[in-house]
Amino acid sequence: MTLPSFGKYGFALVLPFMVSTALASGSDSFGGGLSGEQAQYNTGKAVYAQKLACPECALAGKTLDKTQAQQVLTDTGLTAKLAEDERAALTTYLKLRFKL
Amino acid sequence: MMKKKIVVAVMMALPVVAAADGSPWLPVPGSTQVSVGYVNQTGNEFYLGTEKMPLPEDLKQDTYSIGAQYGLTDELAIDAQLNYARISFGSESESALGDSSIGVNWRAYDEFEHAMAPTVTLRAAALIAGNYDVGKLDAIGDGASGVELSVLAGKYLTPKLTIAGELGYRYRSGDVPNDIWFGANVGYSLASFVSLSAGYSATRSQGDLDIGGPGFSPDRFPEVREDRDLIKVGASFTVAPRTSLNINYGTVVSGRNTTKANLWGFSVATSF
Repeated sequence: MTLPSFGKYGFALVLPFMVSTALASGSDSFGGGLSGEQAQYNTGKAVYAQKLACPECALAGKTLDKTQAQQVLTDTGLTAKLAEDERAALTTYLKLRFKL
Repeated sequence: MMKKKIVVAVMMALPVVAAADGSPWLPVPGSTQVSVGYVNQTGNEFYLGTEKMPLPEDLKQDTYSIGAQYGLTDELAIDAQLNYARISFGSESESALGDSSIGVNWRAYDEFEHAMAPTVTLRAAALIAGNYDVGKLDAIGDGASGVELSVLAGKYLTPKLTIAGELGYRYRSGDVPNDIWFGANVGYSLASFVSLSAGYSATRSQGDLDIGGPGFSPDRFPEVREDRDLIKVGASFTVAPRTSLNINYGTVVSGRNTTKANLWGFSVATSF
């Protein structure tokens, strides 16, 4: 198959047949991130690390295991200062991580 | 006849590639997130080299995708994505299965174990060419597989506010130039059921051939340098305990040998 070479302006004539594939070449994706419950899980990790286990927090230095997670879920005093959505994210994290 | 030859050459040149757009944060260990997505790209201008010029008609691409992510452990996850695309411009159209990807993500550093550090995740993925024929008029790609490697970093500044970035390198077989891409994203959770995001991403091809430039001919399309800069915003709504609806908009703000396109994306993701 022999194909012609194109100058810049001559090329404009065939551009309509080329651009569709050029567009296809970079089909930008919005996907790849986490959403819904998966995002809540990671937000819950942040709530635990920044609001409950920070150096000045009640659970500083304590190992988070299944027993500890159960206590966090049942001891309302530990989470009393959290916003409702923070508490929801924390609950999602602990329940999924430790299968509670 | 010449028109058909040109179309064949072009259709063989630049396949559908799922641009990487990952997250440094991994899915829940032992769980799967499945997403079904649709992206519409429409443009009426084109960067010929770096010079923007109008198109006689809008051109449109619809991409349908299905993807899955699975958390193997706290530090390891795998993902896969498959695309199907339809391109239309005037009377020309093309539909085909795009390339697919399979990736593995290793979280090398956890911000929740080191207060001041970000989460850092390394990703490697195989790009697998679609099963389309390349030697016919309605071929959509050039059958080039490849690999991509990237570093993703992110930080929860507060439980509601995140920043993240990615730097990656993509190698593809044949004469397709390698790419470097990078991006940054900010996310904010308005409430437990809605979050917003805004970001910027850029792709820089390692090629040096412009469409219509010195040495260009249609059979050299795989070697064309294609750059683009994209800004994007998005919103995610939790519509059921384990299901979210994601709406995104993006626009190409500059580029080289690419279409100045506007993009709308919709996806539904669910976990089990």
